[in-house]
Amino acid sequence: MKLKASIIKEYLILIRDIPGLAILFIMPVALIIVISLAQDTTLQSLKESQIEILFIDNDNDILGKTIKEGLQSAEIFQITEKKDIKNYNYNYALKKVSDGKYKIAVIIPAGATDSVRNKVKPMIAKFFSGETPDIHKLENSNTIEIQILTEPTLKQTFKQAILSSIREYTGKTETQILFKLLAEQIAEMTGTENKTEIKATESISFKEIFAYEKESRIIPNSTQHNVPAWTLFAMFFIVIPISGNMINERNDGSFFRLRTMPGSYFHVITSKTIIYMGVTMIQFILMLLIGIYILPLFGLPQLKLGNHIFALIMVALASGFAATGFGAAVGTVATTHEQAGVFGSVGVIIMAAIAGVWFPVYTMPKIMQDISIISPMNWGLEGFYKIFLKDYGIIEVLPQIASLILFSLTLNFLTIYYERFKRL
Amino acid sequence: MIRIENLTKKYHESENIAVNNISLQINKAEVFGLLGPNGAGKTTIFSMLCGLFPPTSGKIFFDNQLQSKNMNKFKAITGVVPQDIALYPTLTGIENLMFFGRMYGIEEKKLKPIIEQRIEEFGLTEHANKKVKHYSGGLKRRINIIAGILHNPEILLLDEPAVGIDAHSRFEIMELLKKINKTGTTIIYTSHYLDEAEKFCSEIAILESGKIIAQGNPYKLIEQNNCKNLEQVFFKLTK
Repeated sequence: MKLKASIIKEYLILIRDIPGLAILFIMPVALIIVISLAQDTTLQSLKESQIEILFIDNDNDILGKTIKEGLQSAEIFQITEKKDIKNYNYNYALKKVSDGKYKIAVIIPAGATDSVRNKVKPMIAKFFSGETPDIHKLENSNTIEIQILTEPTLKQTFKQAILSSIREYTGKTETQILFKLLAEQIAEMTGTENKTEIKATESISFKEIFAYEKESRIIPNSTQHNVPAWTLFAMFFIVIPISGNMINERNDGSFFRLRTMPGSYFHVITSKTIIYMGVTMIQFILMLLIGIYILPLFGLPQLKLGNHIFALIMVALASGFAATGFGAAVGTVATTHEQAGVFGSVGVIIMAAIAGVWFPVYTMPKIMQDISIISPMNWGLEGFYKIFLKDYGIIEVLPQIASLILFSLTLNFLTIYYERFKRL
Repeated sequence: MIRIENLTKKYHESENIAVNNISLQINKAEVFGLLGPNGAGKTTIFSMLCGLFPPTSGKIFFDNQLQSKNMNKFKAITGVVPQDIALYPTLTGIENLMFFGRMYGIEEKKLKPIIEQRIEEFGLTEHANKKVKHYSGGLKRRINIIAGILHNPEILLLDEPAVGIDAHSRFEIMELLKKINKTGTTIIYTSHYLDEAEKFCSEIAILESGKIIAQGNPYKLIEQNNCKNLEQVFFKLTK
């Protein structure tokens, strides 16, 4: 009865605070969209954005084709191919790159593949005739020159990436040609028909592993990071309305009256916790919807919820519980709106920074990664990462849920103790 | 009804003793006035009677039961009207009363008729659905009193119930409080309005520096001190 009465009262007060409510919902929506876009751009410049390459293939043979395919497979270059030697030469490439039309131009000279063949053929012939091929002599003969023109402002890392790609695919082509000629020579010697199609396949593969000691070993994209991160930030920012509500209650005397009534501080805290947890859940749902439907409109990846909705709800509820516990503690200890505003907001910003909300923890130095575990927002973020990135269920996120609940219960206990024994 | 024995309060942060070894007896259906200059200890006694904080030493009994051991029971039969308006400004008058009524544990079925009756008695019918922040000072005072009497308390603690409002509203409020007293409610009352206290109280205690310097029926005190009114007694006895 008393709890119900308190909940109704809190609800009425909350829905009449339109500016407060607007901040609670507009702020995280704006943050998610802006930060996701900003971080996505950064990530793209590092990994995903496509650099325009002018690819002049005057070879028209295997080498040009293999290098082009290799560059395409890297998925970071957008290739414009030109083939007519009369029109598309060094001068053309130089003009286009210096004009800024392309960041890079790659010119494969005419006869490049033939040059490789001519380099390899005598070596195979000598090998089968019993002579030892002079490798040094071969290396220095008929060297082909692939020209790479780069815009001066292009990052060194991109230049290196292109050079590495070209070296890799040139080497592959040489190997391919070598094997082909070898097969032809063997076929000729044995009098059989050469049907072998030799392709340079990779016997060693590479697996990219996220070098981070915690659970999230898959790198989150900007949506997977920013939606839970800023949802947690918004949830914890509820410290401002909760503490404001509690200070108002003290200032307008209604809390004085409550203390003269039968009942305990438990009702006061519990009703606020229930109502503001409701707010955090609405924030959470809203942020998920933003991740699913709005962020893709900006060209950002869509948020995938995974298969463990119950675990997701439980992590969200535990996070909301922790956030309201923090808000109630600040509201109880602070005596003025200024104190609550400064302590609450600075506290949330510091907790967020430590937790990896602003910059993911894996981008931080080791010492910060170690410190991050003290922030309850980090526990929530870890829980969301597990569900979004690893498709983990309730059992795997139990440590995070338990930590968040324990954090809130401890704060609630201390709050009630403080109110009962210190203020009275 | 209420018995105070050797009540003393010393705040942690203060060198002075706010209430110094006070003993009182307040009888049922009495209107007992706690009068005194600022800092005399009225509000401290009032707060301890409300159960807001415990005394440093001494005891408070109601019906021979120790208050500190039966706090919720004591709070349930006590109504409090604080000096400052103690209402939620963004809630309407009705919403405030519904909330405080529920917090006193009044059943929903009974609560609505009680609120309607009180609102009518206090002349608030046309304002009941307006938000309290839009009320005048007099209207706020009335709602503030209703919130403390919804549960028909046996004891009503009034701290300056009519302070800061016009004479007309003050008169009306005091008349309503007299009516409540006539139903058998014991009233403990603090005020700076000595003329009001003289007419309203059946017994008073004049406090100074945490001690009782005079106690008795206001008219008897006037007579004993050869004064014309309580104000003269007050000036004569206090510094």
